[in-house]
Amino acid sequence: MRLASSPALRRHARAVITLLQLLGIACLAVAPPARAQEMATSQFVPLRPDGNGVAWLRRPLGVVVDTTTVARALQAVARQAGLNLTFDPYLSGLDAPAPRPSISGRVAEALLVILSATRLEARVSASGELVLAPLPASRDFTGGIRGQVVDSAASPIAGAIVSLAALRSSAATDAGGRFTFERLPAGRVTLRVHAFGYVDQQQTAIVPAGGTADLVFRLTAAPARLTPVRTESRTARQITFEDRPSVSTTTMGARDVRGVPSAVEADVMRTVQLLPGVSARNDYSSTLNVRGGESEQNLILLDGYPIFNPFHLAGLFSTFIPAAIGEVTLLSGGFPASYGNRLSSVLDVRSSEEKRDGMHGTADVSLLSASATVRGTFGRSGGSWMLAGRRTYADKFVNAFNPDALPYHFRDVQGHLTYRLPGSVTLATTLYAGEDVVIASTSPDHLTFGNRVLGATLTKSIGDPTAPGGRRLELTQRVSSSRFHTAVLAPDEGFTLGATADELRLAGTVTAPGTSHDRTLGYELAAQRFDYATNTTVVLLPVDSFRQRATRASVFYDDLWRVRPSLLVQAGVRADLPVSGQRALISPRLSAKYFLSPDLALTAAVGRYTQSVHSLGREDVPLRLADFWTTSDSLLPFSTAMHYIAGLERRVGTSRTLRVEGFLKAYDNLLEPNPASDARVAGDEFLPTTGRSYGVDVLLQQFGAGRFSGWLAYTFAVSTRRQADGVEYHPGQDRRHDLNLVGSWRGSAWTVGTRFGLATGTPYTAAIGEFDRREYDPVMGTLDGRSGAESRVYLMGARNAERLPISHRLDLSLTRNGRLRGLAVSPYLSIVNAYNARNAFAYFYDYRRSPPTRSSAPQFPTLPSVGVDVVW
Amino acid sequence: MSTLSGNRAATCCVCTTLLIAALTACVSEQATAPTPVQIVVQAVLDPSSRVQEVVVEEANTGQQALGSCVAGAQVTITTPVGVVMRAVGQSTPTGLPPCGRYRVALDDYGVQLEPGGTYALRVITPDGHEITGTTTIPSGRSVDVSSAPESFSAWRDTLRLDFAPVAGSAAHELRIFNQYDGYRRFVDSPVVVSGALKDFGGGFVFLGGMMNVTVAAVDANYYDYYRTMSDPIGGGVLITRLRGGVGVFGSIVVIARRTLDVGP
Repeated sequence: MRLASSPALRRHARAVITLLQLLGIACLAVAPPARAQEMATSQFVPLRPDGNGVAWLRRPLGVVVDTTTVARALQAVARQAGLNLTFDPYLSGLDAPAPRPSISGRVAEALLVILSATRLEARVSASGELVLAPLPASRDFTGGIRGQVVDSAASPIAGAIVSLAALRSSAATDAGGRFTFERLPAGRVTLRVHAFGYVDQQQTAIVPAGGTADLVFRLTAAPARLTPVRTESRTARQITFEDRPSVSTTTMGARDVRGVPSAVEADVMRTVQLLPGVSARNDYSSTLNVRGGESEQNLILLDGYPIFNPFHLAGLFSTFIPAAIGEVTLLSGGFPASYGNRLSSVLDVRSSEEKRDGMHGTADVSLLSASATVRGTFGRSGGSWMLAGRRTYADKFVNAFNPDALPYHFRDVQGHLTYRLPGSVTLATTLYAGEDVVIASTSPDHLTFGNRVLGATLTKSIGDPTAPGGRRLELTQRVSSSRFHTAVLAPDEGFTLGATADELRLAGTVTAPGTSHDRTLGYELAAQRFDYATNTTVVLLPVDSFRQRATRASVFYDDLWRVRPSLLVQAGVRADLPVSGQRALISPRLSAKYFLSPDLALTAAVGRYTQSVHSLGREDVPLRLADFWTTSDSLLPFSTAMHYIAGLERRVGTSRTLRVEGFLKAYDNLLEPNPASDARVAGDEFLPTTGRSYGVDVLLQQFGAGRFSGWLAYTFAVSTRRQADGVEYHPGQDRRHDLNLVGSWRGSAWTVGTRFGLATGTPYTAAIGEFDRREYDPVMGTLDGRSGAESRVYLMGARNAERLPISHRLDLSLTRNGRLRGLAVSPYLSIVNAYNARNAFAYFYDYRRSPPTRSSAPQFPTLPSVGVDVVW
Repeated sequence: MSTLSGNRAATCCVCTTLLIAALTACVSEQATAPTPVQIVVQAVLDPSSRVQEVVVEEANTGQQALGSCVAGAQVTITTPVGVVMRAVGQSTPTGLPPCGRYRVALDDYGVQLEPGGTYALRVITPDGHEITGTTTIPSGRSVDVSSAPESFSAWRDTLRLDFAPVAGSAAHELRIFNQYDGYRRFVDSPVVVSGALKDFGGGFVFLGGMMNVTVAAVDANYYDYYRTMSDPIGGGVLITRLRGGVGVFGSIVVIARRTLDVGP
């Protein structure tokens, strides 16, 4: 809880609380502060739904988002009503979960609904002061009333307010229109029902002692004249800013992703590449390097389930279907104990969940692919479902004219379902299956590459927080299967390759939310399988074959502690238990946020991070076909990193934020794939390195408000690694300066998107010569040179001693926001690299000429593309 | 576990080829500065041969149009017992001065290369570069170089070669060559090769005519030099254990040999 910012207001509020506590009634005071001192001497009467004639209690109210606890819900109501609010945080019942008030109700109604979850009552004076007090105890409170509110067609009305005026109690109906009152005194009571869009109704009932009376309210619809209402709720970003340390946390909505100009079509990973702390290796890769870390160090989750290789076409596109994504959160460092097994970041991609009744959908046709989603709900609060699919179609088009000319396509299917079961249980499931396929009718060669994720989560709230000493527990149980597989079979060339990364994961948490602490205890149990087999040595692909089976077990504890209104601390510890021959690893995590003012906070985090899975992809190679995963065992230690982060976060209004953070990561046992690994030798697959990355990143963001949204992200980072022989070098992802400006202007008819990027170059190893490798012929006894590139070997200079030049790029997009026969139809034009900047991707050398030449292979040239989005 | 040799496989990487082909469609080229001279020495000792060859060249570093062979170098091979054998530069077919190829006739020194023995190579170029290296010959016994041709049908037959692993060897190399081209890979025993085998580029290995098939035990220098690759895009590290230059001073012992008269 946060006191009013003004010291004078705080003094007033404390004085009032003290006085009212002395009188034994005061728990809450909501009033214009200047009049608060009169409160104790005023005459208070129970609050009625009509606000007792007090103007501010009759104000219309928007949606109250945060109903985590009664205390937070009261704060949310006060915030929307524009009032200062203070109350005694130790009052019983304030930490109970609050029912959600109806949409477009009044302040008084909302307060009554929220307090219906407690044994507290609100009392109001004639001058508008409000206090909160425990309901009087009664020996006869043994009866109850239950009932249902329906319309004239017998359909349930959710969110109706049922008031017991005489008992100063009220309740809101659930999705089935049902309501319940318990612990009522026996006798006659009058109930009044108010529902928006219906005529109010009143009934009298007899409450039996020790029994329950049943009632049905059948309401008549009444046209309602809406007065202009400005609704305001706390967005996820506000909640993150106010209620969490949220160090290094950036959240984007689907609109942010789709507002960024893109190469061919919107792409989640490429949008994430534009966030602070994130560096893109080059235009051809949608992998992430976060704060100097290697691209294998990012835990990528789809609805909380890990996905191993979320890429198509050798990393050119990500697997996520843009229209199926609801929200993306990047934790670029200092993440809490609930996340494990990665050293640098967590990217949590959430499927979109439909909020509207009925069936809706989207269709998107780009130059690359066609995709569609359909979605709907199971009633107003019964949950939602979504199914999406995508496939490239160029092969169909090209092959129709020239069979087998383009034997490649990729496809994705993504589904998400949330269903609310009886007993406050929610089931959420996610399915993803995607695959790249190269197959031709005239050749036995084929290649498949893809991911499958299937996960289910059950959540349940238990406990009665309204009972004396009652507590609420939130239980979450997750089970998931994530599988990456690739198979290459080229019998004509004698080339086969197969790889599988498979994980079956069981995880769960128990959370006890409270007024000052949210405590979470959790576990993860994973059975992993990593197989890789190849019969050849090919540049860009690992040469080592292996079969690994591992079991991982982790437990963690996390405590979000609201120490003071101005101080949030999140402390936790994660233990990777000793299975599969490893010793236990303890990873403490600590983050904090200190509010200098309600809109300005200092943040800090420190923590230890471990990683047991390791990619065989080399960071120095600018092309990353795929991550082939292996896991720590008796030969491969866990990699570890320490994070140290300090920063400042400033909220400007409700729609802008500025974040500046400095970071330092110290790595140990960082495993670099051995470029000279011998396929015949086990244990030489990796070379141990140490290192560190440090820097500063800045985010200035405007989101969701008005016509403009966008951000400025700047990252300064320095990364060094040290080999076991003491040689120090800058890894391939060491980009020093990275600036991205992203903006989207949405007008009534057109939406304009821009992105400008400016970045210094990454290191590379230059070739300094070449020669022909001769082969010995034991029959002739001579060393012969084979001609051409087959025998050419390059002499390489000092590792990563050179840097690519500065790169820059402007992307533009223009979208027509049109409507056609009730559909939102939005054709768009996107131009990547609008002024055709010649950015270097890599260099090729020819030392057979004098002077020798260096040719630069460019990154994306100007790439225009068109498409159309349809939404219904 | 069998592997193709690194140089062949690397250049045949489908993905790299496709990507680079796409990228190089719009490359820009500029001159760059020459780099310092690097001496490349390549030599493989083979006890079954009475003449050992050492090739000394300059790498292409842009100092001149093409890297050149190095004439006039002092090339010596020292036996385990300290006999220093001097290699003699060979004349080119056109009679120009000796250039780059140096040969040691073992008979001139009454030396037999001994499996298990460690030999030292030393090269001093006229410019003063000194390159040195050592190799230990695998302990196997060389088979007779000559063998009678066997009829082999590429469509019908399968070649099988059994051999016992050789102590002191890092790997075993299979070579299937005619006088123009061939196929090589590091293998384990037994080797079973179909007559219809294709190489990584899709070409038939058994091309027809007389083909020599050998299996040789190789030392670590040889194995590492030929299994690794360096490339500006694909990365990789060429393992060379010479001091003062690059290349290989390795050794092999041919432990199995067949001559095939390949027909359809």
